[in-house]
Amino acid sequence: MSSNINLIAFGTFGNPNGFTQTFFAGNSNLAKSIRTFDINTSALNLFPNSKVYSIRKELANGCNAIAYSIYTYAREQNSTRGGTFIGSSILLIDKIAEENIIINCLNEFHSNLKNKNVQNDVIKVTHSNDFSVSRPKDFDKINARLREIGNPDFARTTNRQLVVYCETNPNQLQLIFKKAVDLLDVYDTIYFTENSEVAEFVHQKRIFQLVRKDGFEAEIQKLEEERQRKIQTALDEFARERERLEEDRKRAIEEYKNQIEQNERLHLENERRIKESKNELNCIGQNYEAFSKNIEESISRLKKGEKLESIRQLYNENKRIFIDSIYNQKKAEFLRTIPKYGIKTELKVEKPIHSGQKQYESDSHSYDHSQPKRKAYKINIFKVATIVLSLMWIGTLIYFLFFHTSEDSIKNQLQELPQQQVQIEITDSKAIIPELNPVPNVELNENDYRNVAKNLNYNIKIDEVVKIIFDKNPTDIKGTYTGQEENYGKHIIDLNKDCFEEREEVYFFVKDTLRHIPSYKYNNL
Amino acid sequence: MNNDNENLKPLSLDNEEELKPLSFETKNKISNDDFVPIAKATSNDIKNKDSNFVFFFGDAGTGKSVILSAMLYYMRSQVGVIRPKLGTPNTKEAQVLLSDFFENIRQGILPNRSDRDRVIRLDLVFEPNNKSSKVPPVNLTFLEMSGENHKEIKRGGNYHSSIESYLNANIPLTFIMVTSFESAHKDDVLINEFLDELERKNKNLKSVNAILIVSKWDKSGRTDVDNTEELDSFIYERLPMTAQRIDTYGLSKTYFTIGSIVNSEGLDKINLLNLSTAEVLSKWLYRSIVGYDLDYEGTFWERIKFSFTN
Repeated sequence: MSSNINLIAFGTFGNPNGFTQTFFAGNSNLAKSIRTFDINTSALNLFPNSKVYSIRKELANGCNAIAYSIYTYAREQNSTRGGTFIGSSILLIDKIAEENIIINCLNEFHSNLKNKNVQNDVIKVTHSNDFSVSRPKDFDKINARLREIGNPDFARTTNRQLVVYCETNPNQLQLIFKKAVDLLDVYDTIYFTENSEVAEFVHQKRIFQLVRKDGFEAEIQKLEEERQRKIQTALDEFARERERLEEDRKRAIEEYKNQIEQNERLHLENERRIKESKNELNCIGQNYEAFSKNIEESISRLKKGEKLESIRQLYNENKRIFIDSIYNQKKAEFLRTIPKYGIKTELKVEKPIHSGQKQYESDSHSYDHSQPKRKAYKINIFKVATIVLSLMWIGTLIYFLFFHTSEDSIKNQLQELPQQQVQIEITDSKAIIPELNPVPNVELNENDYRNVAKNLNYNIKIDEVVKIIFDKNPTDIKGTYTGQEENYGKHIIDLNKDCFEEREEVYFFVKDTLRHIPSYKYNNL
Repeated sequence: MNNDNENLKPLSLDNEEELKPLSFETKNKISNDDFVPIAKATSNDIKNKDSNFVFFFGDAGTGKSVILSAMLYYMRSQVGVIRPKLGTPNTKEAQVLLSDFFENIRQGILPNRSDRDRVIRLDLVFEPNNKSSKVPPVNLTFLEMSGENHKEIKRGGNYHSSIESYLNANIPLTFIMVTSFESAHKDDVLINEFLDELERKNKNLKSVNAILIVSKWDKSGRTDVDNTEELDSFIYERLPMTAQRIDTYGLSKTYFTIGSIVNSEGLDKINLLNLSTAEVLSKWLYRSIVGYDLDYEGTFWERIKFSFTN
């Protein structure tokens, strides 16, 4: 038996198997690759005593398949929910058969299936594998008159379904099925029912498109018109192409003729030039011969004893004539080559476009052109991010390497600056008060400065204070700093600032005790 | 095949009689002229990740959709406003599903079964009517999918790509694992395989928000449990492996019932809507996301303020 004709039974079995379908004849390898015969239950429902036929196309294992199916109402065993059915299908691969035979077989197979497996609208088995079925009488006849499937493009699925509300007796149905194959170009599946309840349900849900018989005819008409329109456009296109071709032909021939004429002219010209060149060649020979004769004549005349000067003059004269004639000699011109004229046509070969691949072609076309552009213009965000981040990183690094250190140095400068200022202050004050010589190494102890204090009076001038100190410490201070009294006084003021008051540039002692009195002890060293 | 009425057996995928020569070379037969167009990705990457995703796990028919619709209804009708999120438009299907939920639950109609291989994403904002600043609005994204797909992970299988993408994405996920009262004993292995799958996907169970729900509790004949031990012993008895895992990782567990259901004209209908279990679940969800209770009384100052304003 040909495995191109497949007999399938299916149904809804409720818990736990649900919808299952089983191949009872044909090529079971297909079983895994064909779509289910399940119905979209929110769009189409079977009702008691209703019957729905369908025709659908698909690509099964790369083969074009058309399935003719019948669905009738049947309930699951343990539930009464809607959307349940039992059905049969004849699935044909690559070729289709006479519709009347298919319909007869399908009806016979299905009524058999129902009789054996359905009781009171309830399916008696729990899996389609358990169906008991029998082979339709005319099943082998399906093979007899196979014909090629016409137009539908199997690779393209439109995800559109059509439901036709029309009579579905075998006579009507075979006509409808015949027409419907064409319409599979537009719809994936077409359902036919004469049950008004089903039709109303479909209409209510508005998921599948519902049409009546005339609507179906109109759809076919539309498809036919669409096809005609496409053919017409193709015809127009060919006609235009032919016109363009004619123009092209004329232009090409014209151009070719022109080129030939031009080449002929060129050819004549070249011929003339060749003749000229031959003449020139003779002249060259004569010139050389003439000059050679002249030289010989000059030799013979010299031998005869004629004057050298006149001979030399004559020779030079001849030589000049010869050289002039050589220079004036035309060089043989190269032939201009005659180009071979390449015929160009503006007609271009269009890529063959299958209707199904049209979309893809145009896509790939746009892909070819747009892709590089897109590549050029599309900015890769990750690249940009990487670049930006690395720039920032480098920037930070540079900042720390250069600016950060300079900031340190600024800080150092800042720190150094007050020191310098302090130093400057110190030196300033020291500049005012020159160092004593030698620099004092001790101050008077308490006993000594109290002794000094006894002799100090309130409101005396600095000079007198110094004098008193010198008097009280004759060895350590007077002995060391005699002659530096003024300077010593300044040091006293500096060391005991709070004890003196300045009045008209003279310092007066205003306290009772001087605590810091610089001194110098030799034995300290 | 002469017999006209020959019985057919299901084709098995496993008993391949014909052995084909194995080739380990990379197949490079395709000549260079062929090129395969790259499909405009029916992309599996998840957009608008800025939300708290709620992922329902459970077998077909365990009541995931019921729980979801009850939670949404509770949040919308009792404790605040649940509204579509601005800027992330829901698909048309999600809108239809949402309005179906609200419309049907009031009429006592249970949700339809969900179809396979698809995740319907409901992007919502929940604004509690609690005035405390500790109880802020949260983004909630509910992922509604069929239970059939969860079976696919059995024996190391993979999820359908539409679901897989949510599990692989780095998004805050809350897992609500549902098993029904009637079939809990069958789900023990599956739930564990799911938890394994989560571990494989680097979702550490210690840090993940997950709760185990025993749904259809009304099938036990009552709509509540006397004490927590009743639920615990049920889980220990029916789901021993899962129970250990829950205890070890300190995950939460609860039971769920939508109320009492009667069968009228061959159709199950809710004749008494009980939102108390939906309340528990909604509060758990809020607390696990925000960290504060939905009915938090407010900080000390807020309580003083509220005592004046109210």
